[in-house]
Amino acid sequence: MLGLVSFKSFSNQVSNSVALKGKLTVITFIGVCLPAAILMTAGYSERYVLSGLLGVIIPFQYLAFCLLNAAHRNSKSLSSRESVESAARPLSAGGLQDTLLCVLNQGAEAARTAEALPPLSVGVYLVDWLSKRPLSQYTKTVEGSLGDIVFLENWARKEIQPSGLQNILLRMLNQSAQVARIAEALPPVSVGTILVDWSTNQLLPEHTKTGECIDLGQYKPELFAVELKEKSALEAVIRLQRAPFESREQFPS
Amino acid sequence: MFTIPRIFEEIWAGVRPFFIKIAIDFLITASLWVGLYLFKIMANLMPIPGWAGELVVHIHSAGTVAAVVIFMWYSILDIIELKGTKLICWAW
Repeated sequence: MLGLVSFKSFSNQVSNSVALKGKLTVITFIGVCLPAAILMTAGYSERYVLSGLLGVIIPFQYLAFCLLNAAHRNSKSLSSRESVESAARPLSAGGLQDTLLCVLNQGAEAARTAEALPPLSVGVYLVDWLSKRPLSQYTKTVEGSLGDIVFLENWARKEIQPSGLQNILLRMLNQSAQVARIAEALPPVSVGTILVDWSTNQLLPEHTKTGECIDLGQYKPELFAVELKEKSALEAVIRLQRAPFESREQFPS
Repeated sequence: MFTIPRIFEEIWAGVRPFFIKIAIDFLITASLWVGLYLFKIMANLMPIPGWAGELVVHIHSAGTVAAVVIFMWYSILDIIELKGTKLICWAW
């Protein structure tokens, strides 16, 4: 019920969200400071109570984060179930294609701006989350501008843990899906993305936490379907398959 | 070419992300401090006798200590996060 998450994920998410920091601060004040004040009023030694308070704050924030996370996940799964039912219709091109293109370019630009990466150094995978197939029809126009597009397939079904690579993927695909959903009323989590450093042809290892990289080297001129299978929450086995880019049907299932 | 303004620019460019994060942390915890301070002013203007007054004083002291710890905690998290981040993805 508590849905414990890794401490690393907790620290990452807290660091990246001002709103979460504010929430946790208020929760800590209510859940730790008030009881401590009551204890001191009841006659307990201030020295011991304040020492205890110092030691309790971080574990308390972690537990509060887990509870918030679990509540958020529950509400999300309910809404996504409703959306999946309503979005059983086939994906249409047009507006979605433009939206996804915009998403790709924005993501690449943001990454480049942040760390002065060379142009075309960020690749993006697009996955139809419902059918778990690559959205090849939506990437043809991107081919020329972003270089090779690599598709990530079949990891949609895996339960995504909020840690390491999965955490980043979840964040990315939710953001992409949010934009795409506005354009075409897709269900949540219907577009997946992942970052690849094209200058080295590798997944960005600092975000994977596994130390494993995908060497795309010899496959670079080609387009591929990529299958990612989990060994555990953080270990990923990645298999590359050569795949032509002519049509969606030609991708290996 | 090394010039003094350029050196400062480079230093600022390196420090800026940390400064912004820590400033935000400070604002978050300072809001707690300000709230507690206002609370204390109110308690001074309208003295509460007995255990309730004592509770107010203790809330203020516990909150102040907690705010300092929370500020330090968030700052450490931010520094670790920024030091470990080579690529900030999806900044939008």
